Amino acid sequence: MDKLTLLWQSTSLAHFEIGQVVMMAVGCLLLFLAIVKKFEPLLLLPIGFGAILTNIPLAGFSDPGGLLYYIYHVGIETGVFPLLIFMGVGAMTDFSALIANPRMLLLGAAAQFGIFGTLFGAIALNLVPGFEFTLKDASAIAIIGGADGPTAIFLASKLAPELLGAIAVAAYSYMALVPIIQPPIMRLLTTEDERNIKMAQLRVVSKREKIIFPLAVLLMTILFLPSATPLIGMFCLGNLMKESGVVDRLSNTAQNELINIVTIFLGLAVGSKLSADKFLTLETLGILGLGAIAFSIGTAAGILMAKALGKFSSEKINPLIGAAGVSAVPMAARVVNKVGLETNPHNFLLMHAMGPNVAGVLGSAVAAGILLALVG
Amino acid sequence: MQPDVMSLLLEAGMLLLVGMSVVFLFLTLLIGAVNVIAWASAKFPEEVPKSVNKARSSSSPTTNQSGVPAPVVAAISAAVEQYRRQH
Repeated sequence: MDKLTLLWQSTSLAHFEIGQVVMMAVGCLLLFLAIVKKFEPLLLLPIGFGAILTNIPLAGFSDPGGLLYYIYHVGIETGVFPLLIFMGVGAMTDFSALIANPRMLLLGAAAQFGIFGTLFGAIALNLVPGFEFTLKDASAIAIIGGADGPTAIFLASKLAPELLGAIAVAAYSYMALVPIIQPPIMRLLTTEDERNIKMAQLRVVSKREKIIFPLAVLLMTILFLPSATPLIGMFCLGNLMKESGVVDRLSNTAQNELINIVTIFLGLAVGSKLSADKFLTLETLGILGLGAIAFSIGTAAGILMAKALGKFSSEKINPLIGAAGVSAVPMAARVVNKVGLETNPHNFLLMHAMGPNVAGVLGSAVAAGILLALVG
Repeated sequence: MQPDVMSLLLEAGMLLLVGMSVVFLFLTLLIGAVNVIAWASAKFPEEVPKSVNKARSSSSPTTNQSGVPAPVVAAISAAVEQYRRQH
């Protein structure tokens, strides 16, 4: 009989807590979203699986000495994984649309209103009983509005590690939902005539400009915002490797093998933070709600800025491209293109939207640097 | 609790102002930088076109050898020049 009790005690069945079961269900939901709905599968699949692994009783994946504990410790607590991903993203980014029309940077800047507006909103949520967000928590939540996974994980790991799981899941889920969240806002804020506007073709950008650009961005970040240099520095390194054309092997590795390897571990590590005591809280609901608001505000601010810019500009600007300012490369630009084509099947806005889109990446990295400098 | 939230809200409002100003300032400066880069690139054209010119002048005898008459070569290059100037 003793032996039977011992055997029973060594099974998970005897040790399951209700929270762990619920979190495993959340992990399965993420797997479902990734596999069936194809929502950001590259991240949601490892995150969902990580959530299942970390909630297995007795296995101790996330206890000191466990696999996920080390992956998290090595990659996220140190900030290394999001930065390596950012290098890969840099190596995949083509700035020519932005260099050809640099004013698009203003659209990328305006969309960051989503971040700072949500920061305000997160603090205002403290007026509701049950919420107690500190300024650090609020900043980490607000960065979801930057619509940039690595930036959100980097900032959350520095400012509010205990909220990281919820923030990362919210950020990636909403990035997958960009085609659903953005179009209604875009249609609401623009008239049919505005959506019809055709933009002048972009000039050809020389190779030398593309090589100098990342260096110029880095120099300005060094001078004015050193707290953003980890993000911008790695991003510029990746971009320079691509544009210089002399280290194709490194550039290819950064945008393929390396980013893929890191993505697996990043997903698992984020999943390991989806434990019941940290995720099944009222705060998670607040974070999910605030994330949606952040995306919406960012989209709206970008469109309104594009409208304002169009009024003062000699060249016509289609206000739809402002929506791409929220980064989420290249999904947001594709959404702009799609909404533009609905109004006029001959109006291709994809290249024009890539400008604000990559500007949004820079903008959210700058915003993250500001939050690190002022709140961190 | 309430006054605490008020001071936090005030701080968040300040962050909103400062943050947006810095983002705009930084990216506006970057616009200036991109314009300077574009201006400099236009002012000092890349070496590549020069070498193309050299290649063109050195290769014109060979094209003559290959049977294309010099006036035809001249006419085509003039048309190309004109096209490049217009676009």
